[in-house]
Amino acid sequence: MTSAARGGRTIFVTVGTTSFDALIEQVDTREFHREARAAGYDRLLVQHGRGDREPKLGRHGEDSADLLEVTAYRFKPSLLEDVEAADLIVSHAGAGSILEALRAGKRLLVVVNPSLMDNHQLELGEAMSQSGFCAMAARPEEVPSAFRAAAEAEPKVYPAPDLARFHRAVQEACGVAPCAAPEAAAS
Amino acid sequence: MPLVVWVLALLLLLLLRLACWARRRISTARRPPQRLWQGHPLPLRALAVLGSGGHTTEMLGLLAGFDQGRYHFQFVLADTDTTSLKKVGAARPDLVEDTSRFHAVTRSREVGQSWSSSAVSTARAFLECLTIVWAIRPQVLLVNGPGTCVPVVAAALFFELVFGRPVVLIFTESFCRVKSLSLTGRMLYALADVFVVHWPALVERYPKAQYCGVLM
Repeated sequence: MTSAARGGRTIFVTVGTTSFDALIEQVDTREFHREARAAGYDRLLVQHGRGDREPKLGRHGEDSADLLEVTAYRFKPSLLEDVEAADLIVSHAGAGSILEALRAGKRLLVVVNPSLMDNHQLELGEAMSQSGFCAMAARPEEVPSAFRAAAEAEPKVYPAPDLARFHRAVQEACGVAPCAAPEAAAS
Repeated sequence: MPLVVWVLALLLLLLLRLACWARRRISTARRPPQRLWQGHPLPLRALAVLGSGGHTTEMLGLLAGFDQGRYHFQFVLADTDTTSLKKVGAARPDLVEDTSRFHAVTRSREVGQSWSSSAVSTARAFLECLTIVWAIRPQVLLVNGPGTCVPVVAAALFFELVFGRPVVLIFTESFCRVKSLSLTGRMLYALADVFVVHWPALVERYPKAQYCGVLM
């Protein structure tokens, strides 16, 4: 399954634990496949979660010059391997998925799910894209144009978490003396 | 007649106690750190609430660098949530070695549960939390916003008020709250000793909050 081993560049689409059929639909069009091919991608790996919609194009090796080679699945215990093997990630706007992609240092397109009625996803997507860490599509219909931006842009590296200030705040509130040599306990 | 005097005196005392507690506990502005446990033996008894899904992932991130020589953590888990424990086991096998550190409570509100039936389960969860918090006697309480954390915080503050068992309450807002606080965040804003947010824009709106850089 490791697509990197087979060469070529992979797009990984992930919806996390949710369902996001409108996103699957957007990456299952000939236009998207053509666009992705033109941008230098060969493979499309789709994690479609609880959704009803599965990608149809490109799964049986038909006129493959135009289409990406598509693999799809619902869930895996850990997506990390697929995240790391991918070259570009198209993700729903869940915090966990966004962070997993950015920590792996991947080019990322965040797609907000408007049917979730959860505007924090929009807020988070906007905040992350405005900070330059990723590209964003505020609605699935914006995926084609946002994909182009994501494929071309040179994203900023997401900084590694630094808990020193947080721990200092806790230590001060507790009155526990600050560490002389803060040894970051292995996680 | 003397009975009335006694009752009035007792009432006055209770009010005084409540006022003193409220004065120390409630504030919407940042105050200098209270250094509550200065000089106390280490490690401090610490309690963290592991809720569900993303909250648990974020809590594990926050717990990563805690000096175990200073804080000995125990954990409250929502009992319908088995993934949280698995998540902890995967990320921190050292923490699950001793399962007696984990305490399950009934979840106060399932997503989509009606408000009337959630009132009953909240009451039950609160009783369970009272028992657990009484036994653990936490000196530090670390929460990051799942519904499960509210009855735990209520129990700890109840003991602080009634039995004078003070606690340092640390609240960390969820990473996805960029411009506004979560319901739990709004509930605990005035009560927390340390109120941490992930996005600087929130500090402008909520001056008690502090931004501590990238934590996730």
